[in-house]
Amino acid sequence: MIYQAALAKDVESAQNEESALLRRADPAAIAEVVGRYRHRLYRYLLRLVREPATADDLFQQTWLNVIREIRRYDARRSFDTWLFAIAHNTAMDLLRRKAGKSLDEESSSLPDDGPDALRQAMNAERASILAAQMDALPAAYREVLTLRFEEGMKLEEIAEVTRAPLSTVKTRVRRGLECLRERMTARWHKEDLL
Amino acid sequence: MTHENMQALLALSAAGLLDADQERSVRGHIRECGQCAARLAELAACARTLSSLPAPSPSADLVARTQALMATEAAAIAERRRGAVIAVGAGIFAWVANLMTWAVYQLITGGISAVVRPELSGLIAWLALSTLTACLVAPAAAALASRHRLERSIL
Repeated sequence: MIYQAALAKDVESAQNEESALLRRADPAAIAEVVGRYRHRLYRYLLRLVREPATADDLFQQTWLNVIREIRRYDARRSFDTWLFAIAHNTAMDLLRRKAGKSLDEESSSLPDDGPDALRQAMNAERASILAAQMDALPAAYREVLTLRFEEGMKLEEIAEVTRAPLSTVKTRVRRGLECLRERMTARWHKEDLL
Repeated sequence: MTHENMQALLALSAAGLLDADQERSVRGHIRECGQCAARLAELAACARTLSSLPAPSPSADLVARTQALMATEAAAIAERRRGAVIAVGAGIFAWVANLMTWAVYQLITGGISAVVRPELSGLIAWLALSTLTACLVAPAAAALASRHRLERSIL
């Protein structure tokens, strides 16, 4: 209990630190916050739009929107959730403008070194198949799966980012995971990876 | 809970999104149902793999360009804010100065007594007139400032 309270306090102070850094608006402070979130934000955007060039544009536009909106940020909210909500809105604006246009498929590259080479190779193979299948899912499913499993967000946080009711988020997680299971299981069994 | 209802909970269980009671029900069910146990294992394997997918990184060039754009935007926002504060301050000063001309006029035409004991209807008329003038001039000043900003951003 005490540990959880201390952890929550640490998280809250980290969130305040990020907003304080951005409000300072000097280049070093901006570089620090962008550096902290660059991998997570880029991964989320790339999973959502699948196309690296589009993810690059969205990455820039999201951070520009962050600097424009930072004065409206409420420090009682989670900075992570606020940042991802801005990224979601930026991406949705772009997708709406591009409606009808198809987005190119993009597969992920995988690391191949580690202590247990066989296990690592099997994990990599499994991940490679799953990443390809994930790209074939509808964007709404990809988004909630990324936020849940890669970002480790809670249901309420995902709902806040996607501006969807909790029941909708639950349904998307369930259907997305079921879709992946159906597509993956046969492949994994066939290639003896399960 | 029926077998069908339980199947709907399996994905949420693999995602760690069930409350304690629902999770207990699922655990109890899969002890007796091999089909659901296998399905949950497959869903859990998907969930584990999703959690360990490699994270793509933005290029260093993209990050540097983004940081530079943000710094420029932050400077522009700060300048706009400064400009707005100065404009509001100047507007209030102009309005007060305009009001003061009434006191000066009264002093010249009626002496000190006209200022100390002003004619109320005249004061109200002057106040209304100067406020109306300020309200008419303010949008024009804002439009000029906006045009000036646009020209500077182009240059």
